[in-house]
Amino acid sequence: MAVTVINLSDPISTLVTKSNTIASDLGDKATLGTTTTSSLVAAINEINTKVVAIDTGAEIAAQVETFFNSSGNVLDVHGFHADSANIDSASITHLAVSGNFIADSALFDSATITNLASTNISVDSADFAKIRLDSVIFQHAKPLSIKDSTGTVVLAGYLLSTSNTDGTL
Amino acid sequence: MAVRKPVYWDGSAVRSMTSAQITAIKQRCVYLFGGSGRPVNLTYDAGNAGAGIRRMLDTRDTAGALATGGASFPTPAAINDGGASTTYDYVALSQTDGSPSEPADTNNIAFPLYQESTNVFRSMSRDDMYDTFINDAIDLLVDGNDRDGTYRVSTSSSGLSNHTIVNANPIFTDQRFNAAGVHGGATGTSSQEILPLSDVDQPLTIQNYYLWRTDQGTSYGTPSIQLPLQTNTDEDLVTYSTAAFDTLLENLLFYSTASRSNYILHYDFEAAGVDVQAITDNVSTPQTRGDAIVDTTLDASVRINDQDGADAYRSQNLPTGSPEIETTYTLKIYRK
Repeated sequence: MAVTVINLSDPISTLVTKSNTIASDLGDKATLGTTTTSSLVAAINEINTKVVAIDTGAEIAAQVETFFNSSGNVLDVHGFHADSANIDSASITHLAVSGNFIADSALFDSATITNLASTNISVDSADFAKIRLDSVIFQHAKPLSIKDSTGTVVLAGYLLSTSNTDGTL
Repeated sequence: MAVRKPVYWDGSAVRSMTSAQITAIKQRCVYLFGGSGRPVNLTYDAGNAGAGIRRMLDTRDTAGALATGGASFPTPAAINDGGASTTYDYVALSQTDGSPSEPADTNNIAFPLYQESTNVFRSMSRDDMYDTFINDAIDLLVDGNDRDGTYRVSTSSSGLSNHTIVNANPIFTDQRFNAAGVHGGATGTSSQEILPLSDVDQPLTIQNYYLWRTDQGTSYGTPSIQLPLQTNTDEDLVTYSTAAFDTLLENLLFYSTASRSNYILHYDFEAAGVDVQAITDNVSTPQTRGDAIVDTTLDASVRINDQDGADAYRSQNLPTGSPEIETTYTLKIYRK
């Protein structure tokens, strides 16, 4: 759309038409969505002030971090891909890791781990189908109890075994 | 209260003992009874009035009364069959009844573990220990063989292999009328210048009998045993030390042989013949320990005439003949 220009040779009727066109292009300041509606300049300045506060990557990240650090604000994403991440807490319905998952510490409500390599694991509770120790795979627990001469149990527990057959290791 | 098979650690697994291993422990009990701590002993104590064991009698025939006449040989009285005797009450039975006291099953885990059922181990009770080890061990001790720490009789005064003599003095001496020494063993009426005798009793020692104790290790050497497992108050499985298990066996064995009814080890003399005496308080068949002790006399008499001067005619019947057995005593071992 061409810029509306009023010429010295324009008749009065044209001057009226072009003035209305300019007014229409500027719009009704009463309908400004900004806080300040006294003039377009004031409205633009208001917007400028807000934009300048978040016109760098760091400022945007800080705002996002502040937002999600507030209770009740949730990042709801369909997929999440990250080369690395530092997450203070997260609720993950399904976390699939195809490469390495390295954690100084972690709290899992439930997890399926195909291969877990660790030098130290502290587990509050666990459900193992198989345990391999010294290349021996244990997948059965056999009861063991010791009684005193009156028949009172003084020790009751289990032994790990590769077999659920009595008499077989 | 049953025979159990204790378990032991074989270096890589917990195993139940074999019958042979249990037998070795019974034999170990026999060995332990050969030690100085055994509570049942026989001692030599001349004239002690026979504490706990019957006396024996050595009888001898003595000469009849001397008959004296002035013109001819008078008819003498018959000899006195068994006219003299000596009481031998020299063997004393020492039994420390009530000591040691019955061993306690401290915390109910004092005795070895056995496998009660699959995956369950249980401590043996004291009665289990008796049934498994001690009762059979006592039966070995009273089976009549030379078992460690038991006593026997022998005619030998030295050199009895695997035995130690209790006392150099005999516990019994068989004596008979000295027929050979007094009248030359005459068997028919004869005249001899031997009357009057100094005494109607002219004893001659025929045989001495001595008391011996079987040395420790005689029966089975020093049996090595498989030490069983027990549980302790820390709920650990631990193998007894040799000393601890020996002490356990000793306490049970010694208490039983001294005080436990039907398993008290006992000795007594049984006798057949004139001085018959039977053992009646036994619960096992009394078994002979060593040589039979035989009290013998002579089976005949002979008349001896002796004229000393014109008016002194003496005549006397004296024992003679072959030995005859009056009583046979045998030292018996049994449990009661």
